Amino acid sequence: MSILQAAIILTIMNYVISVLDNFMAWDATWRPLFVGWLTGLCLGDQKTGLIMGAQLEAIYMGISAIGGVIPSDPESGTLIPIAAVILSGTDMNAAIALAIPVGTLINYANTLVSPIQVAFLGLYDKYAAANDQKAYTLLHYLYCFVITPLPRTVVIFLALWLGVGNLGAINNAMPIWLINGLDVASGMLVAVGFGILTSMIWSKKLGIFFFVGFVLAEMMGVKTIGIAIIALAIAISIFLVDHKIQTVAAEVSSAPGGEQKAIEDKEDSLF
Amino acid sequence: MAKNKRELTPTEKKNLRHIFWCSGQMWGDFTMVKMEGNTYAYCMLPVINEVYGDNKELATEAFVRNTEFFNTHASAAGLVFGLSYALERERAADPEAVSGEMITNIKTSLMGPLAAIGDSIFFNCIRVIAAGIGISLASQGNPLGVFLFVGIYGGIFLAVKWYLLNLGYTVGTDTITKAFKSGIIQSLSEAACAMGLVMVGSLVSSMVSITSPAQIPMGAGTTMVLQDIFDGIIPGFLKLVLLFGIVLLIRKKWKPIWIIFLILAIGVVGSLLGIL
Repeated sequence: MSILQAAIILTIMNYVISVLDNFMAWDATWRPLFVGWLTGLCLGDQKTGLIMGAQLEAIYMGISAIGGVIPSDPESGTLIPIAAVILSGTDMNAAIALAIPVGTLINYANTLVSPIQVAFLGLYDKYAAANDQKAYTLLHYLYCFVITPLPRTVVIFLALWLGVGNLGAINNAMPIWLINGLDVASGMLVAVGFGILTSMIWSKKLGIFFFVGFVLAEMMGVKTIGIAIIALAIAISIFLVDHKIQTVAAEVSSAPGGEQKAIEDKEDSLF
Repeated sequence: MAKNKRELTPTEKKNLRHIFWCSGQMWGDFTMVKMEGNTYAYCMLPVINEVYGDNKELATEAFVRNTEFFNTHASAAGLVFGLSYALERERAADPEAVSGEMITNIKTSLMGPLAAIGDSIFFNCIRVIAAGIGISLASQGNPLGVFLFVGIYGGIFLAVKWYLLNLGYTVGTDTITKAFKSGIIQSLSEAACAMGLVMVGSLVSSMVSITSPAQIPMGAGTTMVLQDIFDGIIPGFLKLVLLFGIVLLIRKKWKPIWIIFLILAIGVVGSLLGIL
């Protein structure tokens, strides 16, 4: 398969994924796990796609979660490195190490083409004010299928067509110490996504649960699905206890005389 | 605003289904200007037609009003959709009692808390669980991991949206506000955080790889492997050091991309020096 052929196939795949995800808004099909698998499938190397997709998902897991603004596009950050590995024999770990910078570059390119999206926004207001529902609906679908995904699709195509061969060439030109270094770094990069997640959900009260998960996996070798079940049990018990405390508190405060009275009563009964 | 326990008419069911499927297109015309507003109005079209009927003036007012800026979590949005459907119906029945402004205010006041809860539960908990299961299978080359990820994450996303949409339409504003005040939401997000933390902890152990080949001469020709010393403290000690180092940098407002470049540099320098 030539680079151009692959670029065309992957561009079509990318367009379908974008539209699919926009259509469900469920945030699942543009994730590295899915994109990675599909990229591998399209290029005839499902296994590489799955393995790299899994590692990239771990990296992107936290990165895409920061309040609406994504510093690196997970879709292209998965598509391009995997294509580079399968098509031009780039070292897998080096490609993973380069995934985030690639996604960031694509993100800049997407920002550059985003004025196209805003350009037609005025039409929405015009049709709404005229209560022209047919035209409004048509515009909405034009956005879903063309105006939103097309500029990004062009960016992806150019990146694949011009980038994949070059990524391979860059990789071949790299000295061995650099490749070794990137190998080491790619194993550590995964921690960035987890670090972001941890800093977001960490609290003094709940922090210990991080170590529960760590110990279960590291020392006891429990499989992920088993840990998920334990986590679910912990979550349910926390919810029930917490909710019960709040219900009791609400009952106390809604008792005659209100919260203050209830507290006073309690204080009185102490003596 | 009580609309409890009655059978929904076929039109209502049809409109709820329309909202359910079409609200998925929120990212189709997502822009920084209106965010999800334009799709919101599109979803509400059949509702507007149903409740306002021939009253073109009110219908147009509602149409324009619904294109206003809107942004929340795409699954939790179901609740707002359901509520605003019920409110539009009340406005059609008595335009004096329920003003358009009031509907907008209720929508806007729910946007923030729902986005916060939706983002934290979906991104920090459900996605972490689904991806954790998916990653563990996919990294062995098993495509089932991908299907489980999409099935669990996407499935819960859709189920929650459908439930909240119906809930919002049937229970009314008072109940929702009461629920927000009762603290059930806080309990829920606390539980989700704990679940997320357990998963992240286990994924740090299984996905992060950092080892040190360095050996320290102990005299008399013996050496001690640095890794063994670390693992003597707690297995996977270096993983924890790396993770909490990153957490510290994020707390210090470092941008993720700089942390990544720092790690690339550490990887290259560390392997050159033979300590990583």
